Amino acid sequence: MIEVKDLAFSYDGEKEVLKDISLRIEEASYIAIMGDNGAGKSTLVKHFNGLLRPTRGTVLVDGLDTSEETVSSLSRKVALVFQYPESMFFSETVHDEMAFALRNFGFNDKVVEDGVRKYLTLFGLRRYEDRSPFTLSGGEQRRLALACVLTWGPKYVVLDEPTAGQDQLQREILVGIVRQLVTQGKTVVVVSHDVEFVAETSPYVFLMADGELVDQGEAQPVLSNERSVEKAGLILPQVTAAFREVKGLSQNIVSTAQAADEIFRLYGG
Amino acid sequence: MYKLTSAFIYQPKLTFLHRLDPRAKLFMVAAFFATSFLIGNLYYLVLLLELEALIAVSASTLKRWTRSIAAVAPFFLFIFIVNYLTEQGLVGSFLPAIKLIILVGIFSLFFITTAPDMFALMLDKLGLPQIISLAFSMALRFVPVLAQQTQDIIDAQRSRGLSVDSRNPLKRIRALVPIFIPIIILSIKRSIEVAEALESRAFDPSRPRSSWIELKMGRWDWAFAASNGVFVVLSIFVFGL
Repeated sequence: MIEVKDLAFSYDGEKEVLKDISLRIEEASYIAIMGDNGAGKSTLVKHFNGLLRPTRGTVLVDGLDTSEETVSSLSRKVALVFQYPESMFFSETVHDEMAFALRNFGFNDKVVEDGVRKYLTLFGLRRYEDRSPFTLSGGEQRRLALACVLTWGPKYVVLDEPTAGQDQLQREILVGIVRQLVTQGKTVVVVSHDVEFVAETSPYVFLMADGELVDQGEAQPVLSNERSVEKAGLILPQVTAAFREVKGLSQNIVSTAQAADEIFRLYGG
Repeated sequence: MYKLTSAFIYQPKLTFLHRLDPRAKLFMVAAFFATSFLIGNLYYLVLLLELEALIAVSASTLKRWTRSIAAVAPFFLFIFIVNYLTEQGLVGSFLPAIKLIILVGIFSLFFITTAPDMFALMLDKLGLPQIISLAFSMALRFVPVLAQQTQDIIDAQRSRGLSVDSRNPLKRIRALVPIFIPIIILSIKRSIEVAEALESRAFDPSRPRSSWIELKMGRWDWAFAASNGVFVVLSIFVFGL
């Protein structure tokens, strides 16, 4: 479990970008942290693997105080995938790019090879193994970046703006990957301001604005709450807005699956 | 990274120093540069540093100025130790080290109080080709962007188990490869994008450009520039060369 208690943080020692945040992320749960640009979402998740240390308060990962642990040791538990992770590539081949973290963590050659091959296959990248990561398409690079952090089997996977710069097809693939990770029992934390993506995948949602938590709860009630969504600098999901235009339809629909159910209930006989 | 780069990044304020023509401030930089090199008196150099601190206070930027000084502290120590080991004596070792601090401090004051656009206009006025002044001002403007990008890359690679603070110097050098390669690639990509964006907005360095703001030395600018000249003469007169 990740437990954040009264967390405050400032980059420059003057302006606080996180103000007394408290939250709990249970094991094997799927969480979305949402808010406008500058809300403090990325700053918050950088505390989970010790990249940032609290100015005040504590962050506990499985009972370990992140202020007292190294980034390397925390990263074994918490994998953080940055926005545009493909921009961090540097190896000559896809294989080496995937093996990089495993070697850093000191795994033996057999574990490195097994881990790389397993995730190359799972993410459909096996045929690119010997190619330079820079020659892959945008979508393949994003999949590779995700595969890179899953090789060492982290318990918590944090995805920072995973849909940024992705087309509709890649977003669908991402939805599939997130669902797969949740099914595997990983704790998945998605940082995003993409309401459509979050609504479709139905996580537990934390809404942030100006470094504070403004609302939290299941996706449906939170994302259909106009006041909370607006406060977090977001807009209602398109399907919610569309359903509110039609009298007699449910006002709290946030995903296409819920919309289909509602339409079936009304008109499906 | 943020703290280090912010020590040299323009901070908009309305103080006297901020409102001065950048050419007038260039006189201040030249005066500090010249006197710190011409006068090898330790007391004078300490006074010069104190004067810089006072200017930083008057420009409401003491904190950032202090950061710029802190940023060169390792170099200060290095110069001091090397000189001390080559038998320059305590004072002889201290002199070049404090000169470094004075120079970094005065350049930091100049850049903290001068907007990149003003800096570009100043270079234009000084007769530099437009392409050079644009390159300089854009380089300045991109410092925070590059710093943020570098920090993101370091964070990402540390999250993949890269150890950047190993005690083994060889390991530390090897750890730079996964950081520098993405920085170089991203910087080249960004420079190509910026060049294309400039060209698509009709930028042509071979033709003269008009400017919304024209630099003009006012009464206070001339007075400030002249006071720096007087300061240099007085310093040499009182402390000697």
